Formats: sequence, C-alpha cells, structure tokens
Amino acid sequence: MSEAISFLLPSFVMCFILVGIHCYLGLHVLKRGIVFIDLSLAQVASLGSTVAILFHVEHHGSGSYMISLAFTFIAALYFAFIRKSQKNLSQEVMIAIVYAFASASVILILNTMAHGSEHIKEVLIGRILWVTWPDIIKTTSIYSIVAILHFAFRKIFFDLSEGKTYHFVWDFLFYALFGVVISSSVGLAGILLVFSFLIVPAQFAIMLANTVKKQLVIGWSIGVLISLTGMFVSYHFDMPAGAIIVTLFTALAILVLPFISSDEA
Amino acid sequence: MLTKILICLLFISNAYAEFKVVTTTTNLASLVKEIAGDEIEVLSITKGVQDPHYLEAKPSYMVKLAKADLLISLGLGLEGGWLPLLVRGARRPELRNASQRHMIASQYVNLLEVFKDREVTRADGDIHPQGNPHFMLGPKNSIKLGEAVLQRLSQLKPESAKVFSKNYVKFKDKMQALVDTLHEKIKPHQKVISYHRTLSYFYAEFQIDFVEVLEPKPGIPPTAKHIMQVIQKIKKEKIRHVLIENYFDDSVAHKIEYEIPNLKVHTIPVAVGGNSKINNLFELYKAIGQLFYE
Repeated sequence: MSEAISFLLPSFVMCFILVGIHCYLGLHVLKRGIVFIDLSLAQVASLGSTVAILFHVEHHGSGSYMISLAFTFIAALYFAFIRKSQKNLSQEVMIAIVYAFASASVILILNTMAHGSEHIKEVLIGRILWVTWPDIIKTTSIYSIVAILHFAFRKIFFDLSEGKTYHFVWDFLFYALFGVVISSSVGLAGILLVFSFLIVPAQFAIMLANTVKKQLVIGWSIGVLISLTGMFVSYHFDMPAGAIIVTLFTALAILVLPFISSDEA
Repeated sequence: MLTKILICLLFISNAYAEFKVVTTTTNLASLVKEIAGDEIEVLSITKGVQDPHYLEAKPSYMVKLAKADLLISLGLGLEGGWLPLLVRGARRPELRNASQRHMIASQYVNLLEVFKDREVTRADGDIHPQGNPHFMLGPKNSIKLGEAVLQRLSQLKPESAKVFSKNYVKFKDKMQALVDTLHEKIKPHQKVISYHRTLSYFYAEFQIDFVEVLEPKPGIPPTAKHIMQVIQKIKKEKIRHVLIENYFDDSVAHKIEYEIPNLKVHTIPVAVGGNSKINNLFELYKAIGQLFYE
C-alpha cells in the first residue's frame, strides 16, 4: 500500500492544486453565468497546440505552450470585446460558437497530419495518473502568479464578475489569466476533469454559503474529498482515474444539487 | 515533331504509372519498392507515424484503392476496422478477401503468438487470435514475404519479371548482411519492456527477452496498478530498456523513468516514415537494433 501511495502521491497533489485554483475560478465563472468558458478556452488552447504541431514545434514543450497561450489571449480579448460592445449579444452564445469553431478547426488541421486521434484523445482524457514532481513544480509556479494577481485585485475581479462595475482591460485580464490556467490544466487533467473541478465544487459552495471565504472552504473540501475517493476507487478497481473522478463529481451534482435547500444562501 | 515527342513522353510516363500497388502500411510499401524498383507505383494507406490499428477513412484512400492493380494487406484482423470500409467505398468487392489482386501478407510468413486452443473474447482487449500482426518487424519475415511479393508481381506484370527478380536478390543479400551484423552486435537475452506487443518478432529474432508490456491488455490504456507491477518487475529483474512505439503516449514511460532513474526510455519509430530518418526497412531495423548494441 505504501508503494501505491508514493506512486500516486504526485497525482493526488496535482488534483489538490487543480481543485484549489479551479474552485476559486469556478465561483467567478458561475457568477458571470458563463459555464462553458473553460471548454471554449480549452479548445482554443488545444487549437493553439495543434497549430504548433503543424509548424513542427515540439509537443508538450514550452514553445507549444506559448503558442497555445497566445491563442487563448486572442480569445480572451475577443470575449472581453463582446461584453464591451454588444449589449444584445449574450456572451454564452459566442463562447459556444468559439468552442464549436475551435473544435472543428482542430479536426481539420489534424486531418492533414498523422497522430491526429491521439491528440484529440489526450485533450479529452488527460494524463493525471502520470504526472511527476517536475510537472507539479511547473504548474504550481504558473498558478501562483495567477493566484497572487487574483488575491491582490480580488475586489476588482469580484465586482467585475458580479456585474457591479465594468472595465474592458480588467475584463480582458480576467479571461487572460483564466486562459493561462486552463491551457496548462487541460494538458494535465483533460477537458472533462477540468470542467468538473471548475463547476461542481463551486456550485455546491454557492448554494451552501454566502461569503467568498466560506464558499472557498466548502468548495475546496468537496473537491479534495471527491478527488481522493476517485483516486482510491480508480486504484482499487484498476480503472482510468480521470473518468472515475469526473463520474463521481457529476453524479454527486446530479443527485444532490436539486435537493439542497436554498434558504441558507 | 514536338507533338510527337510529347505524345511519346505521355506514353512512356503512362507505361510507368500504369501498374499501381496499394499497401496498408509503409513497411509493406518499402518492401514492394525494393522489389519493384521504378517499374511500378507503390502507395501506402497509413503513414509511418500512425497506429495501423485505427484509421479514419478518407475519400482519397478509396480513390487510391479503386485504381489499385494489387492490394497488399497484413491481415490477421489488424486492418479489420477500416480496410473493409475502404474496399466497399472503392467499389472493389474482389478485394474483400484474399485473391489474385489482394495479397494478405500474413499467409506467407511465420507467425508468433497464435492462440488456437483458447477462446478469445473482447474482454481480452484488442487481441489478434490468429497471430501477432506486426510480423514486418522481423527482418527474416521481410525476406520471406519478399519472395512471395516477387512471385505475385511477376505473375501480374510478367514483362518486368526479370527486373523484379534481380531486385529481389539484391534486397535479400543486403537484408541478410544487415541481419548478420545485428546478430553480431546485439548481445542476446537483454530484457526489454514495450508499450504494445509490436516488436515481438524483432525481439524473438535477436533473442531479446520481451518481459512485459505497459498496456494491461492490447488496446487498453495503462492503469496505475499494472504500471506499479511493471515498476516492481523492472526493479527486481534489473531491466534496462523500455521501448515505446512512437504512436503511443509516452507520458506513462516518463513517469516510470522518473521512478527508476537509470532506466533508458526510448521512443522509437516502428514503421518506415516513423520519423524523418527512417526511409526504408533497412534503416528501420538498424535503428531499433542499435539500441541493443553493447
């Protein structure tokens, strides 16, 4: 058993880190009512890394990460611009359209080269079981920067997400930071797991508490607990970890969320 | 005068292009090229960096197949997921089974890992009960299959038979020389782990011990428990080499490498065209063999 723990420890730690930042961003996303922003930006990031392959930039390397980051920044700029310029156009609609565009473009580009299906599969499923300590150090340092910025300017970001104020530059910065997180987490955990980390704990938190502090404590606890259980189940029954954790998160949401009394919130 | 020359040229170029061979993999295509030389046109449906188990059918493949004079496939169910669709799309029912125009290569080679006496179900993963279909990775099999290809090409295009047989002798001698060199330089009974049972034939031919695979069952992605058993085994049996076929995800191997520092993980091409340096079967076998030089 101790062997198992030392083998799975990096994956556990990675889950905790991912829960930490995604649950927080999830609160923003739910307040803004743009649930699919992560799928959309993740797909744009994936489009970026696909374009990188097309130009023979090494896969999983820093060059590839920079290109996918540049793509997400363009998308971030676009989303911020829509909110600024169009009152009658729902952001959610454009987010969904960008998602479809990026997905289809990935398929079209991959069609011209080999290795296509593996890349698509990797984006969906991720490789949470195979992360190593260097991966964790890299991810932690990227997320720390994002977390520090978010903490320093928390008032501005929350006012923005709750619709109390509006600044184009800050709005862009929000999407850009979000893109930084998503484009690195999707490569590790896959789109489905990232989606679960982002939405499920945050939704529980918002329904069970009304201050950000309490919400974070609740969200993080749920996230860590479910990830731990998922990892354990995956190891015990020898099943794919990512899929198990996603199933646990979503099943919990489907079964419990409708029955939470909302007077506490 | 000019028109006459042009018409002549047209006929000549037509004469060269008129006989077309389509193969399912680049390894087969490379073999056919060695024997056919410039006499015929050879096309492979999959690319060297693609897993031949899976392929998305594209219209262009059907067009290629519709015009083919000879189709050469590996057989044993390897192309079962996509070749029947292409044959149907190409409107060539005579290519569905083995025929004069469809050569199934597995009928002409020595097969390994044949499960005759055991029931095999889907629960065993994507297994090929009639034998391991990656036989083109055994140099001896390529010589053996080369002879069958020579015969078939000579039947279908008798006017070039002499050239074919001259090319085949050249190919055979060169391959035999390479096999001898590899035998000399590869120390037998080195232990190795791979992702899939792709290199069984190569390992068997050079007496390399194929200890374990990273996928728990063929076509099923690795799980934590299985990989931990593999790590135990590597430590216990002091295994030094892990060879990952380059169309599989190598993040699992790097996790293992991180756990066991002096392990050598090689991501290797297993088909001609698998990387830019591998242009024919000779270069392919040499690249794999070199990893085991002492």
